[in-house]
Amino acid sequence: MEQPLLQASQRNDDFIVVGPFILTDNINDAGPFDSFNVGIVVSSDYPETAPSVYELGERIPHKVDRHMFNSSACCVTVFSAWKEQNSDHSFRKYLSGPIRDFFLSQSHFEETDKWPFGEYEHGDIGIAQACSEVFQMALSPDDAKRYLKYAALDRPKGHLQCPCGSGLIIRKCCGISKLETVRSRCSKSSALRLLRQLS
Amino acid sequence: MNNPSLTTQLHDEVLEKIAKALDISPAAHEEASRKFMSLGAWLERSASTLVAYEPEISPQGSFLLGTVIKPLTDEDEYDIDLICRLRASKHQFSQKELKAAVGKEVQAYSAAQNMKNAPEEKRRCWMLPYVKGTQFHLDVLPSVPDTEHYRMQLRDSGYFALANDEAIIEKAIAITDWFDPSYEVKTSNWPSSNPLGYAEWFQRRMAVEFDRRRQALFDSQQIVVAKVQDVPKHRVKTTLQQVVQLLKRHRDVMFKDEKDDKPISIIITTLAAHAYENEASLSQALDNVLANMENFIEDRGGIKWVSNPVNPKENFADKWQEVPEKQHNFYRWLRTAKRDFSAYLRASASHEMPASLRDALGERYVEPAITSVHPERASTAHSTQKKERVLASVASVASVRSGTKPWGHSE
Repeated sequence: MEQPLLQASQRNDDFIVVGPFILTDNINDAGPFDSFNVGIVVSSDYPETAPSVYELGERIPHKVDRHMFNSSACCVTVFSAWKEQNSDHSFRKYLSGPIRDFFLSQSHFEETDKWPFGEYEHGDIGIAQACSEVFQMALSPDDAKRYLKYAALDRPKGHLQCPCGSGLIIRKCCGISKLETVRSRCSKSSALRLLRQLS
Repeated sequence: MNNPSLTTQLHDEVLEKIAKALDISPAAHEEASRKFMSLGAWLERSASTLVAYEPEISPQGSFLLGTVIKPLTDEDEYDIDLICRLRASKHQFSQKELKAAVGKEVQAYSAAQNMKNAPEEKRRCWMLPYVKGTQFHLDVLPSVPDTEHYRMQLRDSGYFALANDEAIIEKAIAITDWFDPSYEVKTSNWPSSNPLGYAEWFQRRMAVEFDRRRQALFDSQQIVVAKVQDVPKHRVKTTLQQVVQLLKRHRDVMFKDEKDDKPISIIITTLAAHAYENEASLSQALDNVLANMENFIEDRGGIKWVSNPVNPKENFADKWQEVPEKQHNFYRWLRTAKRDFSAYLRASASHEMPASLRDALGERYVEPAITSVHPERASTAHSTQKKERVLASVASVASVRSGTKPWGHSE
């Protein structure tokens, strides 16, 4: 058990996970080196929607620069982007991946004033950075919107505007087959979700 | 303390973790075993000048008793005490000749292994110094069997039961000593000793708890062997061994600046083993041992006497006469240990170890033990290693995947 102290219970359709989230390494059975009091709400449609993670110990300042909301909610990461880059979407994986990384980063920040794994910028630019990783090309927020829309299409057509931003239609620009590789990098549902997150 | 048994259990868990951390690591244990088995193989090889005497190497002392603790600092070394027993009689050698015969092979071994530092001759043994990459040296004690002489001495002193205790008597040895008057002459009058008999006695003192823990280890299938007797002895740790480890550590820290006159391990070990009553709980064992160990110091005509249990004529505290400071230090240590451990066991929650005991056992062992038993305390832990461990964890994530970046909305 990676998180032996978390207690799970069901509330309506949601799962609520509460307790100390511990950070351990496997050095000499030395026990955890840090822990955070957390509450996590996992909705029944997980992994469609992201779990909401709260830091309940009032330890991390509620500042955007610390990736925290006033509500104590944690901006763990851009969830859809994580999903698109990982094949295992189980909650266990999310817990031991992004959620652990988030608290490890907070712990690291307290010690060093640095984010060990980097950070996404706030707002649209951060989403665009996440989309750049998903699509494996540098994208501005406007670029990201075009590619996300393209990825959200059921069936792309050659006469549509090319997502690369040339102003030409696809057939006369990048071409459907070349774009297929790009399109395969983001699922329709994630594309729609990311689009909604862009203002 | 609303639930005494739960409280004891948590104290036990914390103290057991500390004892485990103080113990020699399994890797170092294995390395040490490999070392002395390789020396044994060398002595037995067909070209060995000792081969006719069927030399046998076996560990003795704390390594055999399972009460080894880590040295106080990384610069200090473990000393692994070994017996080298030749199947020979005292009439075949003088002490000096036996010492030289074993020394010759130990030196040849050292040369064959390309050891940088040559073995050093000590008063009773040969010392194979520290080798780079390991943290211990080997003390090799040349000896020959001495069962009948040992038996006779016990009988002459009236210890008849002991004189007939074959499992103990058969392990007696004659050893060499620079300062023995007959060191250089062939005589049957050699210093005698029985470290393996002592180990047998120590094992008996904890037999109940040893069997119970060995069975538990076997049942848990952490060690897969055909039958419970096959579980390696050194994998089983009793509360007596852990008590001794904790007390020795307390002693090491208390006397770190006055090493010469610190209470010696054999006295602590012997008195603790006498007082021990096979308590399953480490805190209860500690409590009992600390309260009662001094009752096993005899007064023989005004002389404080800590008997060697396998040779009661020998007084482990014989130096207390010449150096009263040693006796004084023993009692001073015992008082301090009682105070430090009882402040924790009787008056503190398991996660609140008083500073005196924290210092005595060492923060680097205490804090991980407490947070391991009380993970929820980790956020407030004043661990000195926290930053290191945060950085190491980050590096360990980064070595297998990209860590997740946090995002933040602008509000």
